[in-house]
Amino acid sequence: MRVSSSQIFNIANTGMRDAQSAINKTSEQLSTGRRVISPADDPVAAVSILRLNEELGRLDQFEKNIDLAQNNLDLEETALDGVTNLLQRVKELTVRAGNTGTLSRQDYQALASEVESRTQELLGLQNTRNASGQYIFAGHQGGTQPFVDEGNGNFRYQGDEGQLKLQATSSVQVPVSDSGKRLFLDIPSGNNTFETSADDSNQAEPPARITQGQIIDQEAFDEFHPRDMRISFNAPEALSPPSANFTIRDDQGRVLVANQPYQSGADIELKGVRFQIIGQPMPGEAATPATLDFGAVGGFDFSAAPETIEFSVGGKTETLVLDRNITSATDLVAALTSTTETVGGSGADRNAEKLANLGVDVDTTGLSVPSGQNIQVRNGSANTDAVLGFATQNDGSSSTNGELAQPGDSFLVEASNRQGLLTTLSRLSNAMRNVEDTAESKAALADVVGNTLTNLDNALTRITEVQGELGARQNTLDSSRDLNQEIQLSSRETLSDIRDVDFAEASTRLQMQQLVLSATQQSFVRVSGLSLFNFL
Amino acid sequence: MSLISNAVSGLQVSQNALRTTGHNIANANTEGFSRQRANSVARPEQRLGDAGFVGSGAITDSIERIVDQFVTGQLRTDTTAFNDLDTFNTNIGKIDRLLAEGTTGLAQGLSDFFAAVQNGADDPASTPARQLIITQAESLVVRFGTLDDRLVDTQQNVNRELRAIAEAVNGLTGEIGQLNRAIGDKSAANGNPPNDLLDQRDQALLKLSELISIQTVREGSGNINVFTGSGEALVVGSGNNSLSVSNQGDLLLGERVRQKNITDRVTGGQAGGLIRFREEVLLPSRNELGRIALALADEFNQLQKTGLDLDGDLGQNFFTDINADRFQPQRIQPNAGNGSGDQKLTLDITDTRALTTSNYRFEVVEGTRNFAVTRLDDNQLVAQGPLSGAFPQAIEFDGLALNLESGTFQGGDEFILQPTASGAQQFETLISRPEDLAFASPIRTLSSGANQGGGSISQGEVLSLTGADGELLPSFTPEGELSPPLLIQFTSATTYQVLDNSDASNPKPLEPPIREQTFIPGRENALFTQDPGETRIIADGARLGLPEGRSADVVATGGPAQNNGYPIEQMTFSITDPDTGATTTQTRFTQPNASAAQTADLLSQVPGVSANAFTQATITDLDIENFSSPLQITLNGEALIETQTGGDPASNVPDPQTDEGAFLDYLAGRINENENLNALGFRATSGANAQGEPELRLVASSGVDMDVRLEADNATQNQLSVNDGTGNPNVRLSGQGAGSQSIVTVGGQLDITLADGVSLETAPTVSQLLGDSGDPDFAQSSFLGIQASIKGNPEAGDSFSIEFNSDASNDNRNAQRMAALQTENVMGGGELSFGSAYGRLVEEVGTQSASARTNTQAAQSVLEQTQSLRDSISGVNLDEEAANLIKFEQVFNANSRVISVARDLFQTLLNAV
Repeated sequence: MRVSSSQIFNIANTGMRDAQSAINKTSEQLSTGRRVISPADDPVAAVSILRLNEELGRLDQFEKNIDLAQNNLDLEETALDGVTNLLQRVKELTVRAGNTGTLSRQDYQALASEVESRTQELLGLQNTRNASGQYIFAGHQGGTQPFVDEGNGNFRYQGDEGQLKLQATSSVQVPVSDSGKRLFLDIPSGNNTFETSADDSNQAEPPARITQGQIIDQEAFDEFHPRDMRISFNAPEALSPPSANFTIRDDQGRVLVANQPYQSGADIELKGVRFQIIGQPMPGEAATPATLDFGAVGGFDFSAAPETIEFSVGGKTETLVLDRNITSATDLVAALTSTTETVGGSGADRNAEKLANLGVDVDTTGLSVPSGQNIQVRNGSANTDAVLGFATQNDGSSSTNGELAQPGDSFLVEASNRQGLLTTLSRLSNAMRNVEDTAESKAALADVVGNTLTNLDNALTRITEVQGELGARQNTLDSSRDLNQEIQLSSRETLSDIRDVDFAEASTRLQMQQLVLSATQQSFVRVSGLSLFNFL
Repeated sequence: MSLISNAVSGLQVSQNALRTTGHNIANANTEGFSRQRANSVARPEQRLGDAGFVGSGAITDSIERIVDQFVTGQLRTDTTAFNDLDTFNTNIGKIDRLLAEGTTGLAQGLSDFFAAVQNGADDPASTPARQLIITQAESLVVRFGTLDDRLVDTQQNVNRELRAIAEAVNGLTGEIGQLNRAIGDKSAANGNPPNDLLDQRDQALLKLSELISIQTVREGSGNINVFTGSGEALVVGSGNNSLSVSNQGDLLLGERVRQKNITDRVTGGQAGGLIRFREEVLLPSRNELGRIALALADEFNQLQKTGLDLDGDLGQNFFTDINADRFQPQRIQPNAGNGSGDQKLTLDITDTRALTTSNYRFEVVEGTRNFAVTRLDDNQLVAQGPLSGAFPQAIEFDGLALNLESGTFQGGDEFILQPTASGAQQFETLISRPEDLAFASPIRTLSSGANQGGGSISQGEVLSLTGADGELLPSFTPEGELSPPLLIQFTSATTYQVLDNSDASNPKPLEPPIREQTFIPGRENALFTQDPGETRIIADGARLGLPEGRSADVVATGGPAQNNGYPIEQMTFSITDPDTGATTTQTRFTQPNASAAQTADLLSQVPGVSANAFTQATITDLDIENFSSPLQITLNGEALIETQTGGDPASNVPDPQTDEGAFLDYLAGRINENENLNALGFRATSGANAQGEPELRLVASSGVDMDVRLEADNATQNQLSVNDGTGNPNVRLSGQGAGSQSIVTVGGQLDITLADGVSLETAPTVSQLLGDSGDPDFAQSSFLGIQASIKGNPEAGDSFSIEFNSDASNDNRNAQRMAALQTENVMGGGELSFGSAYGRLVEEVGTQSASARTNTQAAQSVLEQTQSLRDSISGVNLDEEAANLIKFEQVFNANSRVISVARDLFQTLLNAV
């Protein structure tokens, strides 16, 4: 083939260019230690590198999460150890308190003082905070103090049931907190018990309080259990002369006791339970009586043919019988409140009783219902219309001006089969404070001591249970850490395999490429020296 | 003298040959020079009489240029191919490394950001940890920005280079035109072609083919006409068409008025490589980057909005709203040739999960009132239809909503839609206060401390703040509370109701109520619907339950029960398939006097419909004066009062006259212990009404009719009232003497739940069972936007509550969901995570870059071979020229010698004279 002079130079140029670029590439690989320098070198590897780096970043973060989780769990464990020790001490005190035969009232005062100081200590433990200042037993509401002493032995839980969870591996979340409600409040009680509280909507200022109360007759209470009581304060006018009073209803709205006079701090005893309300609760508003005035009272003689008329008040209906001659309002009142029959067998003798049953008062002006429930008079006739002076046929007439009494502040006694730890302790100290040197009082105390021991054991069981869970969580964290480290190791290896350069291979390659370059250079020098002109 | 003449001609020929050789040697290094050869021929011979002919010397016939036209053409083609690939390769090499580099790429930024989120979730109350998230988000924003800026810069460079190329092309085509004219002139003047001008023209063509793919056509006149690869004329004769580049970077051919956009048709050469790089790498990369930014912003914003921040407020957007007004101009490019300029359109991104990386073309089809939307990546038609003419008209496709707001749209109008191109530029953080990160869930659940059973409620989650209509759900208005807070109350171990707990001492039914729900112990029972479009009908027809106007009947003891009076009615369900939009209808007829349970079964057969029946009644206002035989209260055939021999009530039955409450307690106990009644789902509670009057509440969760009977003495007053608990009047049963019963039947209630897309019409419209089906509130939305579940074994009376999660500084539930976004497949129709979408971008660019690198090398060696072939044909070999030099010198010397011989001959002749 014919070769032009420029080809000789071109070929050498190309050869040296390629050799130099290869050397350049290899030396870049060697100096960075990476095989894949740009994604174009190996697009698939480049993506794997991105993915592996992301994975490694995540694993690093999991590692940090696990450290933090373990710190949290350690703190919780420490707090729970403190609680356990404290409860053991209280248990000893309780056992001592069981010696009702030998201990005197003074001894009990001393014991009560110690229990009270332990209670405050327990309150502190239950309000433990972590390094970020968050209450660890408050559920999600870490910024709110979970257990608040409201005085009178009542403690309020202000946290919730939230549980903080941290990500330990890509698929495992580990809980790192337990709510105070579960740990310290929802402790199964040995006996049916109750919790007292003031209604959130109470308005008295300063608020009236209810004490945490004591069971004085377990049997009576068991019979009532699981119903709740609501103590609501009525208008003072409900008593005569007007004074503070309350009504206790059960959770179905049935009245247990009505209009009891109230005295701050006095014992209230009902259904085997004793508690006190302290302060001046906001009274309710009195009812506005419903009135239905007679119209122009006409005359009619029912003695020939007695007639009936229905009175309804608050869903209750009574049928009254008119069996006498009525000529005036006075006659009408007498007929409606009669206790005798004018016509034998008419049933008019029970009119007074029926009206009383409905809570209706009658005078010559008309009907009135002090409770404020409206009254309806119906199913009468033209004759009863005439006598009463208003429509009585069919749906008849109704009063519209009655207003029911509005209850004031109210308090709850909620039946429960659980009892908070703080309540258990304060009930014990309260019982010891109030013990008297009588056999009866000592026996009541012995009951409280027995219940307290059971409840303390239940609390210890709950705490042990949670401690077990903490251990299990620590194990999960440990195994997660191991797993993460294994993945990390294998990811690192894979990453190194696909990203990093093989130094031995690369150095050999570099040698080879250098050899090629120098051969090209030498041959160029030789070839370029050959020219006929040299000989001319 | 012919001898001298012959020698002189020889001298001239060899001189010409020597000049040509000298010319070759001189141009040995001239680019595009083709070696030349002086061709000589013998001059015409002269006749020598009979001796024949004698030669008369030589003459230089032509100076030939040694070229192979085929190789020249091939060289141009190979040059075009190489320059195309080389330009592409050089440019892509600049960005593939940029994308993968730890310091510039997105991958590290994403990792750092999510690590910070995870860190924040670890300690949700920690302000420094929250601050770190904001800082990392800002640095992620910077990364997106820098990366996108580099791509934009590259794009501007590409356009600048294109402009330079266009100018170079114009220079070359002008030169070729002039060379055409010069070559024509010179060839015409003397027959033989001007070799060096031809070389110059070939060289100009070669240069041109570096820039753009060309085709050449040789004309008879010796002109070469030049066309682009796709046939647009660049040079015709001596004239040329000029190329220019528009502001958008489009290549335009021709002068102002008749300019033609040839961007799509340019292939090969540097121009082709640049355009290919821009269209296939740069713009898709920007789109993908933008898509990731949009998806990240939107997913985060959505989570933020369903969470609570440290101040207890619902979260605000973390990143700029992806549909902010100011982004609109960047998304829609109207075509310059559109009819009127007054059209207003907006392009909203409705679902970042469905978003593609493509651009779209929205056009009004020429000569019609129909629109078409084409996805430009694969030229698929994604939406079409008639222009309604009414504004606004929304056109939805691929997670986008194009809204035509106003203006005149006419045939031929065209808009290019670029939903994602500027996404990375639009990515900005809005939050600067660490407290504003919404780590907590807006709701929390609580179990009542007084619960007796072993049920537990899940922590609960927010499904959505907005309903099917996109409006904020009533549950979350006003802000900062859950309205209403909810109370889940167990009415038995297997039934519960959900109440409005706004007033904790007096919970009320919800609107629409959730009542008499079935609970399956030992299993997770989800409390609410997940279906945002679900509605519920609470039957309140005039004949339901124990309606006004019904009175007690008297029958012989054990006689037939009253009918419940439920009528035959037609119920027509329209069922719209949410995917296809197709609507079908199903019709059912209720049976006369069917129990609510039977009607519920009938309606529940319709797909998407679930009906729940239950019966409720209250026995109140007891007036039993004769507490002795005959006295019996019967419920669905079961005698409730135990009797002793003789028929009087047994001694353990409390006398209602002395203690009505105790008597009702007794009846409740009897009902709750009766197996036959339990099988029908009966339960009873004894309580008191608002006025404190005792009452007995009955519920049959099965929805059977309730048949209440009183058998009592008629001489004294023995009465009780029955009502259905919905406000209808009492019906009074009164004693009719032994052997007769006063009876009444209470019909059941119906709650009908309709899935999304299902509606119900009744005939008559005002149904006696369900109420007015024409009332807009007939079926009310039952979607609360929240979900929680209860499991375990709760007991009757147990309750759980769901409330607004105020003060939840230590709640990280929403933060965990944010952290989980890192690996969740929230892009590309649920197939890509942010990281893998970016990885795919890197891989695609890397693959293109790798293949460009290989192809460039291949094209280079092809080019080099062709170059070598051309050189081997046309290139100057100095050795050859040296040899020629010697050869022609010798010829010259020989001819000189011939002259010398001639002179000797002449001298000899002269001497002889």
